[in-house]
Amino acid sequence: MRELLMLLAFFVSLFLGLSAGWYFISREGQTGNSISDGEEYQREYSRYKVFRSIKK
Amino acid sequence: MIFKCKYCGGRVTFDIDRQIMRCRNCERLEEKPEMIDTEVCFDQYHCSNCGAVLAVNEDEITTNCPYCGEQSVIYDGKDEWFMPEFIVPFRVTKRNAIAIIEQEFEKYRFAPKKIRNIDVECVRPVYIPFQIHSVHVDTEQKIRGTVREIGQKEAETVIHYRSIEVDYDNLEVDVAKNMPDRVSIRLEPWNMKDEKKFHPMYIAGLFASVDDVGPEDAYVEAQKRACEMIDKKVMKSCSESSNNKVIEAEHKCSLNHRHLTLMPVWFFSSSYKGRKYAAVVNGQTGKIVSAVPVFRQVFWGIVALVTLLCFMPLYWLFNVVYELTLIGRAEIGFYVAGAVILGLWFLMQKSYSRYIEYKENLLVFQSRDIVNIAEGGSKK
Repeated sequence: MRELLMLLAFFVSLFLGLSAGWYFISREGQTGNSISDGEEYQREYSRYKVFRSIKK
Repeated sequence: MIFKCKYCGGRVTFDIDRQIMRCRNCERLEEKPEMIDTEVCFDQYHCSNCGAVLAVNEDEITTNCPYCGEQSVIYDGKDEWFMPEFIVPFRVTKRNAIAIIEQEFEKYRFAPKKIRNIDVECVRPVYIPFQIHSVHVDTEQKIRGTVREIGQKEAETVIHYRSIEVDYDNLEVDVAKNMPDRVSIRLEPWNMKDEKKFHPMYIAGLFASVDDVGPEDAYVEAQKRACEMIDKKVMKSCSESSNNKVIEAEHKCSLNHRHLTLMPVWFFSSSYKGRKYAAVVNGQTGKIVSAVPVFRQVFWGIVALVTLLCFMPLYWLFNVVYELTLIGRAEIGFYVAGAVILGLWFLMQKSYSRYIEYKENLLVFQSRDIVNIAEGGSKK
Protein backbone atom coordinates (compact mmCIF):
# COMPACT_ATOMS: atom_id res chain seq x y z
CA MET A 1 0.00 0.00 0.00
CA ARG A 2 2.85 2.37 0.91
CA GLU A 3 4.33 1.90 -2.59
CA LEU A 4 0.99 2.69 -4.16
CA LEU A 5 0.70 5.91 -2.12
CA MET A 6 4.25 6.81 -3.08
CA LEU A 7 3.44 6.30 -6.76
CA LEU A 8 0.29 8.41 -6.43
CA ALA A 9 2.22 11.20 -4.69
CA PHE A 10 4.86 11.07 -7.43
CA PHE A 11 2.35 11.42 -10.25
CA VAL A 12 0.41 14.20 -8.56
CA SER A 13 3.63 16.14 -7.86
CA LEU A 14 4.72 15.54 -11.47
CA PHE A 15 1.45 17.10 -12.67
CA LEU A 16 2.09 20.03 -10.35
CA GLY A 17 5.61 20.34 -11.77
CA LEU A 18 4.30 20.33 -15.35
CA SER A 19 1.72 22.99 -14.49
CA ALA A 20 4.41 25.18 -12.95
CA GLY A 21 6.64 24.66 -16.02
CA TRP A 22 3.89 25.58 -18.48
CA TYR A 23 2.89 28.62 -16.45
CA PHE A 24 6.49 29.83 -16.17
CA ILE A 25 7.31 29.35 -19.87
CA SER A 26 4.15 31.12 -21.03
CA ARG A 27 4.87 34.02 -18.64
CA GLU A 28 8.53 34.35 -19.60
CA GLY A 29 8.14 34.00 -23.35
CA GLN A 30 5.57 36.61 -24.31
CA THR A 31 4.40 40.12 -23.76
CA GLY A 32 1.48 42.35 -24.69
CA ASN A 33 -1.83 42.82 -22.97
CA SER A 34 -4.95 40.78 -23.35
CA ILE A 35 -7.46 41.16 -26.18
CA SER A 36 -10.05 42.92 -24.03
CA ASP A 37 -7.77 45.98 -23.78
CA GLY A 38 -8.95 46.97 -27.22
CA GLU A 39 -12.25 48.16 -25.84
CA GLU A 40 -10.56 51.05 -24.00
CA TYR A 41 -11.00 53.66 -26.74
CA GLN A 42 -14.05 52.13 -28.36
CA ARG A 43 -17.10 54.25 -27.79
CA GLU A 44 -20.27 52.46 -26.90
CA TYR A 45 -23.86 53.72 -26.64
CA SER A 46 -26.29 51.20 -25.21
CA ARG A 47 -29.96 51.08 -24.33
CA TYR A 48 -31.79 48.25 -22.58
CA LYS A 49 -35.24 47.68 -24.01
CA VAL A 50 -36.08 44.67 -21.83
CA PHE A 51 -34.43 43.96 -18.48
CA ARG A 52 -36.48 41.37 -16.63
CA SER A 53 -35.63 38.39 -14.41
CA ILE A 54 -38.21 35.82 -13.30
CA LYS A 55 -37.72 33.19 -10.61
CA LYS A 56 -39.24 29.78 -11.34
CA MET B 1 5.70 59.61 -55.95
CA ILE B 2 8.54 61.32 -54.09
CA PHE B 3 8.86 64.57 -52.18
CA LYS B 4 11.62 67.06 -52.97
CA CYS B 5 12.78 70.12 -51.05
CA LYS B 6 11.75 73.37 -52.78
CA TYR B 7 15.01 75.01 -51.76
CA CYS B 8 17.79 72.45 -52.25
CA GLY B 9 16.07 69.59 -54.13
CA GLY B 10 16.94 67.16 -51.32
CA ARG B 11 14.81 64.26 -50.16
CA VAL B 12 11.89 65.25 -47.91
CA THR B 13 10.43 62.73 -45.47
CA PHE B 14 7.96 62.79 -42.61
CA ASP B 15 9.64 63.71 -39.31
CA ILE B 16 7.92 61.72 -36.56
CA ASP B 17 9.42 63.84 -33.77
CA ARG B 18 8.09 67.13 -35.13
CA GLN B 19 5.08 65.71 -37.03
CA ILE B 20 5.97 67.69 -40.16
CA MET B 21 7.91 67.14 -43.42
CA ARG B 22 11.67 67.73 -43.14
CA CYS B 23 14.39 67.92 -45.80
CA ARG B 24 17.10 65.38 -45.07
CA ASN B 25 19.65 67.56 -46.84
CA CYS B 26 19.13 71.13 -45.58
CA GLU B 27 17.03 70.18 -42.49
CA ARG B 28 14.33 72.70 -43.49
CA LEU B 29 10.81 71.98 -42.25
CA GLU B 30 8.26 72.15 -45.05
CA GLU B 31 4.49 72.01 -44.95
CA LYS B 32 4.00 71.53 -48.69
CA PRO B 33 7.11 70.10 -50.38
CA GLU B 34 7.28 69.52 -54.14
CA MET B 35 5.54 66.27 -55.13
CA ILE B 36 6.91 64.32 -58.13
CA ASP B 37 4.86 61.40 -59.49
CA THR B 38 6.45 58.02 -60.19
CA GLU B 39 6.48 57.20 -63.92
CA VAL B 40 4.64 54.11 -65.09
CA CYS B 41 5.82 52.85 -68.48
CA PHE B 42 4.77 49.44 -69.93
CA ASP B 43 3.59 48.35 -66.46
CA GLN B 44 6.99 49.14 -64.98
CA TYR B 45 7.54 51.75 -62.31
CA HIS B 46 10.45 54.12 -62.75
CA CYS B 47 12.20 55.94 -59.93
CA SER B 48 11.23 59.63 -59.92
CA ASN B 49 14.76 60.49 -58.85
CA CYS B 50 17.12 58.50 -61.13
CA GLY B 51 14.74 56.85 -63.62
CA ALA B 52 15.79 53.27 -62.78
CA VAL B 53 13.22 50.46 -62.99
CA LEU B 54 11.83 49.80 -59.51
CA ALA B 55 11.43 46.37 -57.99
CA VAL B 56 7.90 46.64 -56.62
CA ASN B 57 6.87 44.68 -53.57
CA GLU B 58 3.29 43.58 -54.30
CA ASP B 59 2.35 43.75 -50.61
CA GLU B 60 3.30 47.38 -50.13
CA ILE B 61 2.53 50.79 -51.63
CA THR B 62 6.04 52.06 -50.98
CA THR B 63 9.35 50.92 -52.43
CA ASN B 64 13.03 51.81 -52.27
CA CYS B 65 15.05 52.39 -55.45
CA PRO B 66 17.89 49.83 -55.46
CA TYR B 67 20.22 52.34 -57.20
CA CYS B 68 19.76 55.76 -55.58
CA GLY B 69 18.00 54.62 -52.36
CA GLU B 70 15.11 57.06 -52.94
CA GLN B 71 11.83 55.88 -51.50
CA SER B 72 8.71 56.18 -53.65
CA VAL B 73 5.01 55.97 -52.84
CA ILE B 74 3.45 54.00 -55.72
CA TYR B 75 -0.14 53.41 -54.68
CA ASP B 76 -1.57 54.89 -57.89
CA GLY B 77 -1.01 51.86 -60.05
CA LYS B 78 -2.10 49.14 -57.63
CA ASP B 79 -5.23 47.33 -58.80
CA GLU B 80 -6.65 46.39 -55.43
CA TRP B 81 -5.65 49.58 -53.73
CA PHE B 82 -8.03 52.37 -53.00
CA MET B 83 -7.12 55.56 -51.26
CA PRO B 84 -7.33 55.46 -47.46
CA GLU B 85 -9.48 58.22 -46.03
CA PHE B 86 -7.54 58.71 -42.81
CA ILE B 87 -4.20 58.03 -41.21
CA VAL B 88 -2.97 57.86 -37.62
CA PRO B 89 0.60 59.21 -37.96
CA PHE B 90 3.56 57.65 -36.15
CA ARG B 91 4.13 59.14 -32.70
CA VAL B 92 6.79 56.68 -31.52
CA THR B 93 10.16 57.47 -33.11
CA LYS B 94 12.68 54.83 -34.18
CA ARG B 95 14.83 55.69 -31.14
CA ASN B 96 11.87 55.21 -28.80
CA ALA B 97 10.77 51.98 -30.53
CA ILE B 98 14.27 50.51 -30.08
CA ALA B 99 14.32 51.61 -26.41
CA ILE B 100 10.91 49.96 -25.86
CA ILE B 101 12.05 46.72 -27.51
CA GLU B 102 15.34 46.68 -25.59
CA GLN B 103 13.59 47.33 -22.29
CA GLU B 104 11.06 44.56 -22.95
CA PHE B 105 13.61 42.05 -24.18
CA GLU B 106 15.72 42.54 -21.05
CA LYS B 107 12.88 40.81 -19.19
CA TYR B 108 13.32 37.66 -21.29
CA ARG B 109 16.02 36.22 -19.04
CA PHE B 110 15.55 32.69 -20.32
CA ALA B 111 15.38 33.45 -24.05
CA PRO B 112 18.43 33.04 -26.34
CA LYS B 113 20.71 36.09 -26.22
CA LYS B 114 20.84 36.27 -30.02
CA ILE B 115 17.14 37.07 -30.13
CA ARG B 116 17.50 39.73 -27.45
CA ASN B 117 20.28 41.60 -29.29
CA ILE B 118 18.64 44.23 -31.42
CA ASP B 119 19.99 45.18 -34.81
CA VAL B 120 18.85 48.77 -35.44
CA GLU B 121 18.78 48.06 -39.18
CA CYS B 122 16.06 45.44 -38.61
CA VAL B 123 13.53 47.92 -37.22
CA ARG B 124 11.01 48.98 -39.84
CA PRO B 125 8.10 51.49 -39.69
CA VAL B 126 5.06 50.20 -41.61
CA TYR B 127 1.55 51.58 -41.90
CA ILE B 128 -1.03 48.81 -41.73
CA PRO B 129 -4.50 49.44 -43.26
CA PHE B 130 -7.50 48.99 -40.94
CA GLN B 131 -11.21 49.28 -41.65
CA ILE B 132 -12.78 51.28 -38.83
CA HIS B 133 -16.41 50.27 -38.32
CA SER B 134 -19.35 51.80 -36.57
CA VAL B 135 -21.79 48.93 -35.96
CA HIS B 136 -25.30 48.81 -34.51
CA VAL B 137 -26.22 45.55 -32.76
CA ASP B 138 -29.66 44.60 -31.51
CA THR B 139 -29.97 41.45 -29.44
CA GLU B 140 -32.67 39.52 -27.63
CA GLN B 141 -31.54 36.84 -25.21
CA LYS B 142 -33.02 34.40 -22.73
CA ILE B 143 -30.62 33.20 -20.04
CA ARG B 144 -31.14 30.55 -17.41
CA GLY B 145 -29.31 30.72 -14.09
CA THR B 146 -29.65 29.61 -10.47
CA VAL B 147 -29.97 31.58 -7.22
CA ARG B 148 -29.55 30.22 -3.71
CA GLU B 149 -30.63 32.44 -0.80
CA ILE B 150 -28.87 32.12 2.61
CA GLY B 151 -30.41 29.23 4.54
CA GLN B 152 -32.10 27.80 1.46
CA LYS B 153 -31.36 24.14 0.73
CA GLU B 154 -32.25 24.03 -2.93
CA ALA B 155 -31.31 26.55 -5.57
CA GLU B 156 -34.03 28.36 -7.51
CA THR B 157 -34.02 28.69 -11.28
CA VAL B 158 -34.07 32.22 -12.69
CA ILE B 159 -34.84 33.16 -16.27
CA HIS B 160 -33.37 36.48 -17.43
CA TYR B 161 -34.92 38.26 -20.41
CA ARG B 162 -32.65 40.86 -22.00
CA SER B 163 -33.19 43.00 -25.05
CA ILE B 164 -30.49 45.55 -25.69
CA GLU B 165 -29.25 47.66 -28.56
CA VAL B 166 -25.71 48.98 -28.72
CA ASP B 167 -23.83 51.23 -31.13
CA TYR B 168 -20.13 50.41 -31.24
CA ASP B 169 -17.79 53.00 -32.69
CA ASN B 170 -14.15 52.49 -33.67
CA LEU B 171 -14.18 48.72 -34.20
CA GLU B 172 -10.81 48.27 -35.90
CA VAL B 173 -10.19 45.31 -38.23
CA ASP B 174 -6.90 45.04 -40.09
CA VAL B 175 -7.24 44.51 -43.84
CA ALA B 176 -3.69 43.47 -44.73
CA LYS B 177 -3.64 39.72 -45.45
CA ASN B 178 -0.10 39.22 -44.18
CA MET B 179 -0.78 40.91 -40.84
CA PRO B 180 -2.07 38.15 -38.51
CA ASP B 181 -5.32 39.11 -36.71
CA ARG B 182 -3.91 37.70 -33.48
CA VAL B 183 -1.17 40.35 -33.61
CA SER B 184 -3.29 43.31 -34.72
CA ILE B 185 -5.85 42.63 -31.96
CA ARG B 186 -3.12 42.53 -29.34
CA LEU B 187 -1.79 45.88 -30.61
CA GLU B 188 -5.00 47.59 -29.53
CA PRO B 189 -6.02 50.03 -28.11
CA TRP B 190 -5.68 52.76 -30.73
CA ASN B 191 -6.68 56.29 -29.93
CA MET B 192 -8.75 57.36 -32.93
CA LYS B 193 -8.65 61.01 -31.81
CA ASP B 194 -5.24 61.21 -33.55
CA GLU B 195 -6.82 60.32 -36.92
CA LYS B 196 -5.93 62.78 -39.69
CA LYS B 197 -7.13 63.18 -43.27
CA PHE B 198 -4.85 61.02 -45.43
CA HIS B 199 -2.07 62.61 -47.44
CA PRO B 200 0.82 60.69 -49.10
CA MET B 201 3.31 62.93 -47.28
CA TYR B 202 2.62 61.03 -44.04
CA ILE B 203 4.13 57.88 -45.54
CA ALA B 204 7.12 59.60 -47.19
CA GLY B 205 10.25 57.85 -45.90
CA LEU B 206 8.19 55.12 -44.21
CA PHE B 207 6.43 52.01 -45.54
CA ALA B 208 2.77 51.07 -46.01
CA SER B 209 1.02 47.75 -46.69
CA VAL B 210 -1.75 47.38 -49.26
CA ASP B 211 -5.27 46.52 -48.16
CA ASP B 212 -5.88 43.12 -49.72
CA VAL B 213 -8.80 41.94 -47.56
CA GLY B 214 -12.20 42.97 -48.93
CA PRO B 215 -14.38 45.37 -46.91
CA GLU B 216 -17.13 42.73 -46.63
CA ASP B 217 -14.75 40.22 -45.02
CA ALA B 218 -13.62 42.91 -42.60
CA TYR B 219 -17.25 43.69 -41.75
CA VAL B 220 -17.91 40.00 -40.93
CA GLU B 221 -15.02 40.18 -38.43
CA ALA B 222 -16.34 43.46 -36.98
CA GLN B 223 -19.79 41.89 -36.56
CA LYS B 224 -18.23 38.92 -34.76
CA ARG B 225 -16.42 41.21 -32.32
CA ALA B 226 -19.50 43.37 -31.74
CA CYS B 227 -21.60 40.27 -30.97
CA GLU B 228 -18.94 38.98 -28.55
CA MET B 229 -18.91 42.31 -26.73
CA ILE B 230 -22.70 42.52 -26.48
CA ASP B 231 -22.84 38.92 -25.20
CA LYS B 232 -20.35 39.83 -22.46
CA LYS B 233 -22.46 42.84 -21.55
CA VAL B 234 -25.63 40.73 -21.32
CA MET B 235 -23.88 38.10 -19.19
CA LYS B 236 -22.55 40.83 -16.87
CA SER B 237 -26.11 42.09 -16.36
CA CYS B 238 -27.13 38.65 -15.03
CA SER B 239 -24.50 38.58 -12.29
CA GLU B 240 -27.06 38.07 -9.47
CA SER B 241 -27.42 34.41 -10.51
CA SER B 242 -24.80 31.74 -11.09
CA ASN B 243 -24.37 28.92 -13.67
CA ASN B 244 -25.80 31.25 -16.33
CA LYS B 245 -26.47 29.64 -19.69
CA VAL B 246 -27.87 31.23 -22.85
CA ILE B 247 -31.03 29.39 -23.94
CA GLU B 248 -32.11 31.65 -26.78
CA ALA B 249 -30.19 34.41 -28.54
CA GLU B 250 -30.77 36.49 -31.61
CA HIS B 251 -28.42 39.16 -32.96
CA LYS B 252 -29.19 41.73 -35.64
CA CYS B 253 -26.22 43.76 -36.89
CA SER B 254 -26.19 46.73 -39.20
CA LEU B 255 -23.34 48.85 -40.44
CA ASN B 256 -23.59 52.55 -39.64
CA HIS B 257 -20.35 53.66 -41.18
CA ARG B 258 -16.87 52.43 -42.11
CA HIS B 259 -13.67 53.98 -43.39
CA LEU B 260 -10.14 52.93 -44.24
CA THR B 261 -7.36 54.20 -41.99
CA LEU B 262 -3.62 53.53 -41.96
CA MET B 263 -2.25 52.67 -38.51
CA PRO B 264 1.42 52.97 -37.53
CA VAL B 265 3.35 49.83 -36.46
CA TRP B 266 7.08 49.29 -35.85
CA PHE B 267 8.31 45.85 -36.93
CA PHE B 268 11.45 44.25 -35.64
CA SER B 269 13.02 40.98 -36.77
CA SER B 270 15.78 38.76 -35.44
CA SER B 271 16.93 35.23 -36.15
CA TYR B 272 17.97 32.25 -34.06
CA LYS B 273 19.01 28.81 -35.28
CA GLY B 274 17.87 29.57 -38.83
CA ARG B 275 14.42 30.75 -37.73
CA LYS B 276 13.22 34.32 -37.95
CA TYR B 277 11.25 36.01 -35.18
CA ALA B 278 9.29 39.25 -35.31
CA ALA B 279 8.21 41.69 -32.63
CA VAL B 280 5.84 44.61 -33.18
CA VAL B 281 5.34 47.94 -31.44
CA ASN B 282 2.24 50.10 -31.71
CA GLY B 283 3.59 53.25 -33.42
CA GLN B 284 1.05 55.45 -31.65
CA THR B 285 1.07 54.19 -28.05
CA GLY B 286 4.34 52.21 -27.83
CA LYS B 287 2.64 48.99 -26.77
CA ILE B 288 4.87 46.03 -27.61
CA VAL B 289 3.64 42.58 -28.64
CA SER B 290 5.93 39.62 -29.11
CA ALA B 291 6.66 36.00 -28.22
CA VAL B 292 10.14 34.45 -28.04
CA PRO B 293 11.31 30.88 -27.51
CA VAL B 294 12.44 29.95 -24.01
CA PHE B 295 15.20 27.39 -23.36
CA ARG B 296 13.75 23.87 -23.01
CA GLN B 297 16.14 23.16 -20.11
CA VAL B 298 14.40 25.88 -18.06
CA PHE B 299 11.06 24.10 -18.47
CA TRP B 300 12.40 20.70 -17.42
CA GLY B 301 14.37 22.29 -14.54
CA ILE B 302 11.18 23.78 -13.12
CA VAL B 303 9.27 20.52 -13.59
CA ALA B 304 11.98 18.60 -11.70
CA LEU B 305 12.24 21.19 -8.90
CA VAL B 306 8.50 21.44 -8.26
CA THR B 307 8.08 17.63 -8.47
CA LEU B 308 10.82 17.14 -5.87
CA LEU B 309 9.46 19.85 -3.57
CA CYS B 310 5.87 18.58 -3.68
CA PHE B 311 6.54 14.86 -3.48
CA MET B 312 7.15 14.55 0.30
CA PRO B 313 4.23 16.80 1.46
CA LEU B 314 1.86 14.97 -0.90
CA TYR B 315 3.09 11.56 0.23
CA TRP B 316 2.49 12.65 3.85
CA LEU B 317 -1.01 13.92 2.96
CA PHE B 318 -1.98 10.66 1.22
CA ASN B 319 -0.65 8.70 4.22
CA VAL B 320 -2.87 10.73 6.56
CA VAL B 321 -5.85 10.07 4.30
CA TYR B 322 -5.03 6.34 4.36
CA GLU B 323 -4.67 6.34 8.18
CA LEU B 324 -8.07 8.05 8.48
CA THR B 325 -9.58 5.32 6.30
CA LEU B 326 -8.10 2.66 8.60
CA ILE B 327 -9.72 4.17 11.72
CA GLY B 328 -13.10 4.32 10.04
CA ARG B 329 -13.09 8.05 9.08
CA ALA B 330 -12.87 7.37 5.38
CA GLU B 331 -15.27 10.20 4.43
CA ILE B 332 -12.86 12.91 5.74
CA GLY B 333 -10.03 11.32 3.81
CA PHE B 334 -12.04 11.20 0.60
CA TYR B 335 -13.14 14.81 0.93
CA VAL B 336 -9.53 15.96 1.43
CA ALA B 337 -8.16 13.85 -1.41
CA GLY B 338 -11.04 14.92 -3.70
CA ALA B 339 -10.44 18.61 -2.97
CA VAL B 340 -6.69 18.27 -3.64
CA ILE B 341 -7.20 16.41 -6.93
CA LEU B 342 -9.89 18.86 -8.14
CA GLY B 343 -7.70 21.84 -7.25
CA LEU B 344 -4.74 20.35 -9.08
CA TRP B 345 -6.84 19.53 -12.14
CA PHE B 346 -8.10 23.12 -12.30
CA LEU B 347 -4.56 24.50 -11.91
CA MET B 348 -3.20 22.21 -14.57
CA GLN B 349 -5.92 23.09 -17.07
CA LYS B 350 -5.35 26.82 -16.54
CA SER B 351 -1.59 26.68 -16.99
CA TYR B 352 -1.85 24.30 -19.96
CA SER B 353 -4.27 26.58 -21.81
CA ARG B 354 -1.91 29.51 -21.14
CA TYR B 355 0.95 27.45 -22.53
CA ILE B 356 -1.01 26.54 -25.68
CA GLU B 357 -1.84 30.22 -26.21
CA TYR B 358 1.85 31.08 -25.88
CA LYS B 359 2.82 28.35 -28.38
CA GLU B 360 0.25 29.66 -30.88
CA ASN B 361 1.56 33.21 -30.42
CA LEU B 362 5.11 32.00 -30.92
CA LEU B 363 4.12 30.36 -34.22
CA VAL B 364 2.48 33.60 -35.37
CA PHE B 365 5.61 35.64 -34.64
CA GLN B 366 7.69 33.10 -36.60
CA SER B 367 5.28 33.00 -39.55
CA ARG B 368 6.47 33.97 -43.01
CA ASP B 369 3.74 36.60 -43.32
CA ILE B 370 4.80 38.74 -40.38
CA VAL B 371 8.53 38.21 -41.01
CA ASN B 372 7.93 39.40 -44.60
CA ILE B 373 6.44 42.68 -43.37
CA ALA B 374 9.27 43.07 -40.86
CA GLU B 375 11.91 42.55 -43.53
CA GLY B 376 10.11 44.13 -46.47
CA GLY B 377 9.86 40.89 -48.50
CA SER B 378 6.88 39.95 -50.64
CA LYS B 379 4.79 36.82 -50.22
CA LYS B 380 3.64 36.90 -53.83
